[in-house]
Amino acid sequence: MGMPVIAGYGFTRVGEHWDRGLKDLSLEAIEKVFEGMSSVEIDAIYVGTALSGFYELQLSLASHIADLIARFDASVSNFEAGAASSAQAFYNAALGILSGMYKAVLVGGVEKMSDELPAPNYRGVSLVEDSFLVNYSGMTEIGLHALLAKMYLSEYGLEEPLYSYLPVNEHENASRAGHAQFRNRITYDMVRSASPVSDPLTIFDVTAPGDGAAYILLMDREYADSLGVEYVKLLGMGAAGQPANLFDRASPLFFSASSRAVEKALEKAGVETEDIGLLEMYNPSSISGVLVLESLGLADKGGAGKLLERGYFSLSGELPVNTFGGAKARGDPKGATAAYQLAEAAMQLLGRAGDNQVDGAEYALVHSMVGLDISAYAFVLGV
Amino acid sequence: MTEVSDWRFRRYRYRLIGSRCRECGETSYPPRRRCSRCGGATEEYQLPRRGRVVHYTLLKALPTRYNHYRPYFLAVVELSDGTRVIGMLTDVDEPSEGMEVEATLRKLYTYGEDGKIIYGVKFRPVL
Repeated sequence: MGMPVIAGYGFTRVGEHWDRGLKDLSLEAIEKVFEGMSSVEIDAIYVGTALSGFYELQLSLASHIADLIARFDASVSNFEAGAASSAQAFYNAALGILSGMYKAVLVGGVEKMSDELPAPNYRGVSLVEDSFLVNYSGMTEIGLHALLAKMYLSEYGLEEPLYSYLPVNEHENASRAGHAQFRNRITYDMVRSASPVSDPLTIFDVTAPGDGAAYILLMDREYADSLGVEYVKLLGMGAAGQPANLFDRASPLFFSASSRAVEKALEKAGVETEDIGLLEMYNPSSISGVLVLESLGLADKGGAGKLLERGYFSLSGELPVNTFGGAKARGDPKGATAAYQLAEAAMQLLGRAGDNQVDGAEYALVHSMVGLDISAYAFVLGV
Repeated sequence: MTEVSDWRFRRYRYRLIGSRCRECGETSYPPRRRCSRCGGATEEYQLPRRGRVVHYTLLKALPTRYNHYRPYFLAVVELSDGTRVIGMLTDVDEPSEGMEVEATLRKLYTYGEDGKIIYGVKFRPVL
């Protein structure tokens, strides 16, 4: 018994899968997890979904995933926390293995966002924020991001919204990723001149609805060794929170939950920030990504845009970020998003990232958050 | 939200009632039960109705229930006591940063088969 390992992963392409539902996508991803593996005993199934009860009117999803794959001996648990749903599931799955109760947990997430039209989607994804504000102030997730962008530009006296170089980098990385939703390359000027969703943000500054499923096989290390599977180690993890209301925070521009979660994860892993070879962060917008980078101390306050512009965070840069396109370009099927991030980090560390391979990465940092940093999760993976 | 929760929140929706920490004086809207800064107990607090626009955005990605306002301005308003709140602007075509505004009771949306009307606070330019 000790820190668990990622012994398998599988996911679908992110996109608009009109003809397939929560279970179809889950089955495809889960079958990939077990591909080439002899029979594995699964003690538990942990499933994250942000809005399955909204899109397909299916609740208690983990029970139905167990039913789907006929694993009736497994205990099941459901996790619902926006785009951090499967991060929460993963965190707790790791605790399950650390407890000694479980040897193997199937953990992941799924979302079917194309089942709804834009207006219900904008409402749905905003519901992780304070419901009073969402229902009675006209506030939405995207509106909050836009106001943060205004605060950011004004606070640091910036004239150019250089944070829009982030989606440029993300689309570039996704252009070679078979499972990505958007594989077209874009330029900074294209981002800036695209139609505004909430000024100063345009459609290229924010994520789009997507369908997808991603699952991971988390295992006790000795069990993985006995099966002879290749794996990535989970070395550390951390979680923290902060007030949902931006104005109840010491500074709306500092994502203290993300900062604290990462600090805890690095400390547990005994790894320094400088040792991190790549970062898979969750950013539902360009501005939130820049705020994550700055809050983690990976860029000076107000300075992440300049670093992005000169390729610091690109695949060949000093610290590659969102190496398969992140939520913007790989796609953001909320409940599944964090499981994609974890799987992608594992691919990098195992040398299976193909054209997107980052050379020589010993450690990967995976970051996830609920809404605008209300709760955050961080995981340090290593080979 | 159902009509019961709409009813339960009516005071805060209609009257801009927030909270103030009994220990450190921190104010919040919507109201909190415990202070985010010091953890102290709070009490209800009538926020001032006047303030100024700090930032605003023209929201075009509109959610269900609000998508008949096409588009609308969402703003950060700093009230005269320094409390910052988020809300919709109304009766204005071209807002500006620093613009003086006041809270006003307006229709937010109607919903349900019987068209329940939900009212709440928006901000309009000071007349």
